Amino acid sequence: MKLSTKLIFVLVYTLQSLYSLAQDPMNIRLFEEGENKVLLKVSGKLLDHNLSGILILKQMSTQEIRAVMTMETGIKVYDVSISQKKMRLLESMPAYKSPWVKNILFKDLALILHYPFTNTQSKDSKEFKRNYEYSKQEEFVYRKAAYRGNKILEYSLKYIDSTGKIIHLKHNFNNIPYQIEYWRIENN
Amino acid sequence: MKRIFFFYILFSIPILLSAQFNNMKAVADIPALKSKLEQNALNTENIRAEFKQEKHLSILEEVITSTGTFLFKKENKVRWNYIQPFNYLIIINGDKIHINDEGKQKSYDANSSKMFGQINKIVVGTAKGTLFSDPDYITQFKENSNYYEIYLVPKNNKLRDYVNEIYLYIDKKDLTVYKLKMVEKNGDFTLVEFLNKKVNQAVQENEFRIP
Repeated sequence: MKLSTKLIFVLVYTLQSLYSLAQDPMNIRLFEEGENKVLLKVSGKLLDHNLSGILILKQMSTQEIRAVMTMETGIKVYDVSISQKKMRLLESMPAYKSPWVKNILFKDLALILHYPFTNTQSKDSKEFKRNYEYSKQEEFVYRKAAYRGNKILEYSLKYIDSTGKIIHLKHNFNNIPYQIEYWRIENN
Repeated sequence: MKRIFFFYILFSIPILLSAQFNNMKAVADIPALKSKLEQNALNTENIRAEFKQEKHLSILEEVITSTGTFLFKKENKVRWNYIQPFNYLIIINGDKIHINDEGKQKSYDANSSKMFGQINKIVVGTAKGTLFSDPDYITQFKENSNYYEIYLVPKNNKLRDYVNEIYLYIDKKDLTVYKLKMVEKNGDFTLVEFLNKKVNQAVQENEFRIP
């Protein structure tokens, strides 16, 4: 093969790669390639109650993700099954049996995992009647906001590394005294 | 195949765990054992140890491991310091609980929350090795040549939402708690192993200071 042919081949390949990157600018991900789980350190506050521990997210099948949170001492806080259509609280501490607290938890998890969780725009199941929109805030920071109409109800700031892996999430609920942050735990 | 593997893992964990606690048989003279443990608790001023905590969840093949240091001082002072996978400190000083979560600090009154009250009771009772004398639990005593096993079931249904069963393994050599296993309703469990224990050594009061 002539050198000029080789150069043309390399140029076309490079342009194609750049084009595909431009088409998929938000190549952000929670699960590492080949992995079906992620561990996150949790630290948050609801009203005057602090909550902290470890959140385990595991893709059980293409249809289901399980979210299990435990306190540092090992005591389980909740276990939620998340599918495309709905979320189910399988187990929890008594506080999460309150419908108000349970709804906050589900909205919080939807900010992390709402299907398809990295689309630019997506619509919720009928559960919360929300639309979600991703936008880039700055380099390595994306925002996923939940809207009803034009109003932002809650949002998640997603901090990513240079490969697109989510390393930190910061959630804010506008009308609810609830703030929570998640940090990826590596190599446990 | 995946399901078979899952059940293999699920059922093999308790088998592996029980390997060192096999040949357990019922303790013949329970009052004598209680008396011995209570006397030992009276003589124990403090315990310093390292710990390894394992969380076994049915959805995970792997175990989530945390490590850190543990300090108990009579009567009701505990310093539980998680170092890996992140820093997290719990100080129990009487009825006060203080938490330092990587710089975020918060203090509670143990009596202000039933959950903290129960955690306080389990942690202090475990450190003292006298949780068996708590009237809120049904107890059974077993032993083999190396360990006593004290099996506790909370009488209260609400407490069973947190912990359904507790196993305390007490080392016959020094009568201190060697392992603590807290089992949830669905079979998930937390195992805490205390290592390099030092009993009745110098302990500074300010290690339990609540800011």
